[in-house]
Amino acid sequence: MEHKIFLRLLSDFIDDELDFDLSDEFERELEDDLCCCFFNTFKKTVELCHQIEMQEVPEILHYRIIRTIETTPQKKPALKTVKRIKK
Amino acid sequence: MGITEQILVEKSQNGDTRAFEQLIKMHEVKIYNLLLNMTGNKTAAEDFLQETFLNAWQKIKSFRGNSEFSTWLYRIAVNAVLMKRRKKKVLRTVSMDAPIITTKGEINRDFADDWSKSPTATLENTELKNKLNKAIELLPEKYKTVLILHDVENMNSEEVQKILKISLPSVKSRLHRARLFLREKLSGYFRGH
Repeated sequence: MEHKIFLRLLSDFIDDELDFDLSDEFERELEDDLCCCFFNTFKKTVELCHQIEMQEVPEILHYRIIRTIETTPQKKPALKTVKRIKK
Repeated sequence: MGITEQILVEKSQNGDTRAFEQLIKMHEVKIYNLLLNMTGNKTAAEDFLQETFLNAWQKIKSFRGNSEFSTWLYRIAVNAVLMKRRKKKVLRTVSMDAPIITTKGEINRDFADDWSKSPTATLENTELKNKLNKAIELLPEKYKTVLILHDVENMNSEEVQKILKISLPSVKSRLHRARLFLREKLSGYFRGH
């Protein structure tokens, strides 16, 4: 497998979206040191993104939003636009 | 959409602010974090969160349930940020074409250091955490949004596709390029150490 194809398939492999044959071929490519290093650091990058912690909404903001909602009227539902067909 | 959520949506559509408050509680953390990551700014994220729920409250009678309520909310939030960015016409050009491949079609050796098993390759390392956040911030908007929804908020490609109303191949291609970009930035950090 050429390196440029290997690079193109990285995300699909990580997301488990490669079909069986390609996946097999991709795994064989991981025996190559360069590919393996690239794969490990790519995978680690994605893992780090998954680990970004969620932050809590500040309580003051939460109540500010509620207060705004309570004093804001709702809009009427949007009407579906019907296109006129020219005869 | 779960039954509880569906009931809350229906009550909200009839003007019940208490029901809408429950919907806010169910979704505010995820939407807030999406906005934090998209803007990289706490004050801006807070303003956009307020704008998102205010918009959702005003338009909820138009929500027909054709999509998940959360998808609808996410779309309002993402559009709020994108609209503001378009108005400001922020032109930031960051090259997304990392020179990974040599002319011979091989992976460039410079990029091959394996830092993945380094003990500092963790978000407990504040420097790395900041580097990652900075790199996400640098991503052009269309790549950033896909990456945040998929890899930070852990949505699947189909969910991202529904929120952004783009094709599945576009989701996958933007995600892949964003990941390559981030990997390059993190590699730069480790090369410097």
